[in-house]
Amino acid sequence: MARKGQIWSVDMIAGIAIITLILLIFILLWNNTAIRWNNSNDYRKMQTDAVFASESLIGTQGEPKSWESFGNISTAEIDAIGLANGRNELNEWKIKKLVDDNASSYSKVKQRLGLQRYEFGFKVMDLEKEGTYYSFGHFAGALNASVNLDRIVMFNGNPAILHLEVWK
Amino acid sequence: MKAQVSAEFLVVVSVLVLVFLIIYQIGIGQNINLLQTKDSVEAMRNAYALSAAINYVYLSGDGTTYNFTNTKEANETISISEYSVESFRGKAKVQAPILDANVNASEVGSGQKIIKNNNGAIEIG
Repeated sequence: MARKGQIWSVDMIAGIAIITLILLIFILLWNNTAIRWNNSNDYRKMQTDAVFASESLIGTQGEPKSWESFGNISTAEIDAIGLANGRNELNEWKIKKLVDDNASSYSKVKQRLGLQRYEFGFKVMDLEKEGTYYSFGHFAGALNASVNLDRIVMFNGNPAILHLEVWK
Repeated sequence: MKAQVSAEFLVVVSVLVLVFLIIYQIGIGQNINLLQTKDSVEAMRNAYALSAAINYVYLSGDGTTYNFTNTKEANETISISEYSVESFRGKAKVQAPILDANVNASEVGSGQKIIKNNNGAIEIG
């Protein structure tokens, strides 16, 4: 009888151990999947925000439309930032104003472009991407995951590229 | 002999109860996580839907209107701050960025809304 009882117990314990192991593996896989989903979701949100920011820069004049004439970009009177005269046609004065105020207004510009959760930078470059006319913000090092967008624009009557980099 | 079998039986039952309790605790924990994730996902969906609509109207220029249906539920609050749409649902708080700070509404209720770009000012009515 004692032997029978012992074997039964060992069977039970082995069964419980296997079930616990399966449960543990299931929980680990579940958590791993959740982390992956979160990461890809965060990246997708960053992409969406980057597209909206680039649209705001190259597709609008900003709000008010002559915001570059304000002394300080950080003023509450500026509701939105845009660099365009017309769609995809950049206004050099607006870019100059941003670049001149880079140090003092970077955070505010980020917020105005809907990029408050990230870091960002943009460059206006020639089509070959060999020369840079203007550069604003901070750019990601090789270790950071970033969203990179190249938008074709007109700058001083010539085609150019607005390169936008958004990163965490 | 009999007493030995009973002791063994008690040990097995104790182990079973312990395992059951552990599984039950894990199950409850996962269930709470799931409910919080559901709140968070739905809050995010609603906040991003409204912010995308506002951004679309702003980017499309003066005179643009957009017929937006806010599907928020009673336990959710959607408000608009200077730089973002904020959605609160349960313990979840989600922010979705907007491009134009000039929005005339501070809180957005459920149902159909007309979002309009009036010379750069975003009106929600």
